[in-house]
Amino acid sequence: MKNIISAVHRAELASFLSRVGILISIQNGDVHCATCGSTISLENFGAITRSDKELVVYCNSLKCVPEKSGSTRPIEVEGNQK
Amino acid sequence: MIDLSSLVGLAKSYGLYAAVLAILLFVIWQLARMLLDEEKSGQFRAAVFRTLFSLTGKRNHEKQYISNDVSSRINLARKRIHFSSEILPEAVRVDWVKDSQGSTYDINEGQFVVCLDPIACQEQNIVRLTNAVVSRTSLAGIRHLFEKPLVMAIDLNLIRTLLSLTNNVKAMDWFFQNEYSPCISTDAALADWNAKVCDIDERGLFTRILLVEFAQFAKRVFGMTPRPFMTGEIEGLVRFLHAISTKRYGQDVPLEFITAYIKIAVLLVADTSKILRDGINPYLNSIAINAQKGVNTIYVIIWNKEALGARDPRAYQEFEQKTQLLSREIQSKTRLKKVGELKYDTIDSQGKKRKAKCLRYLVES
Repeated sequence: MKNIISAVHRAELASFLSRVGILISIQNGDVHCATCGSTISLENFGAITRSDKELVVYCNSLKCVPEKSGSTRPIEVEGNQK
Repeated sequence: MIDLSSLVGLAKSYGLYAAVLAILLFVIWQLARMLLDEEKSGQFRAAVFRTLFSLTGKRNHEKQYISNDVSSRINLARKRIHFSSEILPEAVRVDWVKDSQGSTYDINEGQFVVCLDPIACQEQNIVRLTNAVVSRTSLAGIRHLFEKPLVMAIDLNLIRTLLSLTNNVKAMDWFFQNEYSPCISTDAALADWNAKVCDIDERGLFTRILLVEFAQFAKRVFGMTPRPFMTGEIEGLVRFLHAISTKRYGQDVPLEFITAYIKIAVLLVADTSKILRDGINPYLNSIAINAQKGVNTIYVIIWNKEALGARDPRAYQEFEQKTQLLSREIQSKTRLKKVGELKYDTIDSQGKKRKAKCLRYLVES
């Protein structure tokens, strides 16, 4: 069985984040990497996952990629989405 | 394989059509082989989409190239490093998130969405995906038992091993320059564990013993409450294999590692004079003693003696015969069941490249 990893193209990232509901938070500098705490931007965005119903974002540094269970530092989502 | 002389012979005997038919059948056979192997067909698809992208410039073609190229490279590489019945780490498949304007997108629990760069940065995509696969699928179930510096050292070396097998020089360069070197230079504890793991890897024991034993350990402690001694067993195994890897000629180091959940022994067939003088009985006795101590896995490492072959061909031949006899006698005279055998290139303590063989045996109760 293969480990499925979803991917988003860097050129479509803004549109994707807007659909997820966190684009404005990222543009305002309110989102931080769950591992290293650095401010997430469209340039250093690495990955996003959902852990314990909360969205968790990571920067593009290799050491910040989580193991399968994910680490938890949830971020606030704009609007009334999860 | 079809060669030119056999084709000419075929054409002379049966006519030109027979030769054309043979070529056609050969092409169909090769295509079928490629299509049946998902990873090889992935590389073929990547080449097709790359050509399409260079002709059309469409993003969909670019995305198909990126995902097919990166996943087939990683999956082919991981197949080449496995030793036990399971392949470590797991295979990967990249699914693109559909880009539909206006609608909302809900990320499912546990779903992992990674951002990949355009085709010009494919080396970064390869490194990023390799890292995601390694950190998310290797050491599964025991990752929480590792201290952060050690788990990072293992991840970095597994990524390096996989990248070296993807045949992408740019990806390897990018990894060393942007990730590996900065990580090592800023964390002393990581640098220390990394040096140990590198020594183990240079002797060929990283993927063939360390990772295999970690996978076995994960099965044994699955579902148990994490305890400090488990972390001790993990670090102890690394130190044990490091001592063997850095062993100098004539130096005595422990060759058994027996703890609550890891019970292994390593048998080194490296000293030519010992096996030529004393024969194979000391090795068989050592196996019997280890089996009595409760060891459940025994690794036999045989170093090739090519240098001896040039200096003393007779002694070399005798060494080869004795090591072959040892393999046969282990099978017939002990309670060991061979579950794996790998030949590989390694670097000895003097920095010379050598060939070696690693045999893995389970002790049957």
